Amino acid sequence: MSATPPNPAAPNVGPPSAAVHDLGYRRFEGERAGVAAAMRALGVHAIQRVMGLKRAGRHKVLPALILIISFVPALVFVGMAAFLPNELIEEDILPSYSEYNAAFIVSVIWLFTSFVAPEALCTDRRTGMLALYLASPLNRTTYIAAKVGAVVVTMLAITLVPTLFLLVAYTIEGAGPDTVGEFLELLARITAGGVLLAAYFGAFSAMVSSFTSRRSIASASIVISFLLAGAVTSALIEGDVDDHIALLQIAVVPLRAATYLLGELPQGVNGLAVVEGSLALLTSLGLTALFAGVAWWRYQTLEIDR
Amino acid sequence: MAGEPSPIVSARGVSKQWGSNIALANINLDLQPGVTGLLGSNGAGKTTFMSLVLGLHNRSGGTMSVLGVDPQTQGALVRGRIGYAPEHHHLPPDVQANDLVRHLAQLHGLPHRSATERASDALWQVGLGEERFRAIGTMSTGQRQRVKLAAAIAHDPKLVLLDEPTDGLDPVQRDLMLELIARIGSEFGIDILLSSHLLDEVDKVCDNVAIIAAGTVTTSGTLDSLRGAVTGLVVEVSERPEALAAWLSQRGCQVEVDRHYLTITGEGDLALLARDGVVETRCGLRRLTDRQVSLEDVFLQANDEANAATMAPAASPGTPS
Repeated sequence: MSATPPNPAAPNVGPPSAAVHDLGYRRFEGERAGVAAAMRALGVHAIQRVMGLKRAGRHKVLPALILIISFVPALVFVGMAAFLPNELIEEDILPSYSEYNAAFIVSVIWLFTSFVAPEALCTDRRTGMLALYLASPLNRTTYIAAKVGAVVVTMLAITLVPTLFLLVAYTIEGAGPDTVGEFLELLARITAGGVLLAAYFGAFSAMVSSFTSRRSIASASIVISFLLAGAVTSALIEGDVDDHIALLQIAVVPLRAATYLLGELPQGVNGLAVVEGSLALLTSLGLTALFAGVAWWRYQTLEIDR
Repeated sequence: MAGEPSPIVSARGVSKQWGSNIALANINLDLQPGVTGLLGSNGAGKTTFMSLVLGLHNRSGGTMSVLGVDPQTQGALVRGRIGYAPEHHHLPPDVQANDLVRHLAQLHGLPHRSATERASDALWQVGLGEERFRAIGTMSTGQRQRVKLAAAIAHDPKLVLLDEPTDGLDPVQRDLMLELIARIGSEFGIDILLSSHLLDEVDKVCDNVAIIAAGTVTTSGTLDSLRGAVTGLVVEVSERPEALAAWLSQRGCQVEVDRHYLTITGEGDLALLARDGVVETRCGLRRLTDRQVSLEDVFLQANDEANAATMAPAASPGTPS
């Protein structure tokens, strides 16, 4: 029997050949990743949630505003450095890194810590996702580590990237460090300061968020904590007490420490200007560990709704 | 025994205490492959047992093996091969079903591309193929239960734990969900541990049953074997059932009378005894059959035994203090 070859010019008059096939259930034969990959997946998801990605437009507004406030002034100053004559630049028309932090970054960090970061933890408890996460290869420690890590990484976009951008742009335009050594030293100082700020405020937000499943309550608690600590400390400073009482200003202590790391004069840190930078650094590191420790402890003892 | 498959979950003397409260006491259980119903009333310890299977809590005592490893020491490994659908219906309302299932598949170790493909497949398998890009907040309770089921199977687990999977569903949705569970157990070849307090749904879909009462497993085995474990006869007579009941009671049988039906349990050859009783009392035999034991009978008997053991603590030396 011989088969007739198909004639491509002939019209297709037979039944349609396309069909949808039910392949049934298919097994997964590939290699499975471990806990590190699970932490990474959770971290990426947390960053998306926090920044409002894949969510309704209203969830994107505040994160976008925060990024705009963080970056736009830096772009303006870089533009000024590019177009203004060198004489004006040398007259300190451009802000130092500490001044930039004090003028623009610190306010958005507070906004981010209070109103954006709590989304990373609170929502999982309110929506029951925590029970599903803890039924995966993650445990309570790796879960909280991935979440806090995601918040800290997101915060680095505010505390580190704009100042790094300034450093690189100033350097290219001849308004930055003069030698490679100075550049690398400043790079290390800016990085350390940015990481410190992100870790401190990320841990603080995690600690407060670990006590409630309601994001609004966490936000209010953080704002009240900042305001209360500032008001109480100011009142105490006005009385005749030890200057070190200024270290109780939990909202600005890490800013004083970051200034110290940058090797610059204290900017916008109220009574903390008279406190040694090294002491502010130690206090900030200690508080970061304390905040993270409390958040970890809370998640070890938390009752999960199953 | 040669040829018998190794158990999916094996527990020996497992106990769990929350402070002074004993949640599980001396659990001895081998869960065989297939669909197993973990049956018990609310608060009996089902969810606590599932938590131990997942390695979420440390045992207070005993040994446990899940898929061949100890979940307490290798929890991440065990949880990577288990799918879990919790009892609650809360899921993030602003997340698409497809995104949620894909995300959870990734957490269980699947690469991004495979997780994306399998999330769509799993949602298709549970009947949400067209709705997979809808936000979960816009879905009904039944659809959310299906999303949880899809998330539990998307990473191709060896064992799926379903905690009250029909909770909140209307009768039609409930039957559809049970069909789906039965299909996952048979067609997909995934072993299932289904926690429920509803006897008929366990009866419909499960191959094996473990009854848990007052924190201990009172009965376990295949449905057929459990039904066979409760013996007895049902006799239907045309008249004077009380006379036959009295005659049988005098000879050591336990008899329950319901109109013309007598349910007889006891030692010895009950059929011969009932035949003799019918002749002696002239009550007119209509029918004499083996007692058809329902799962409810097994469950009630198991609960009675558990309650009796609780009332007499001295008689249960295996129970931890």
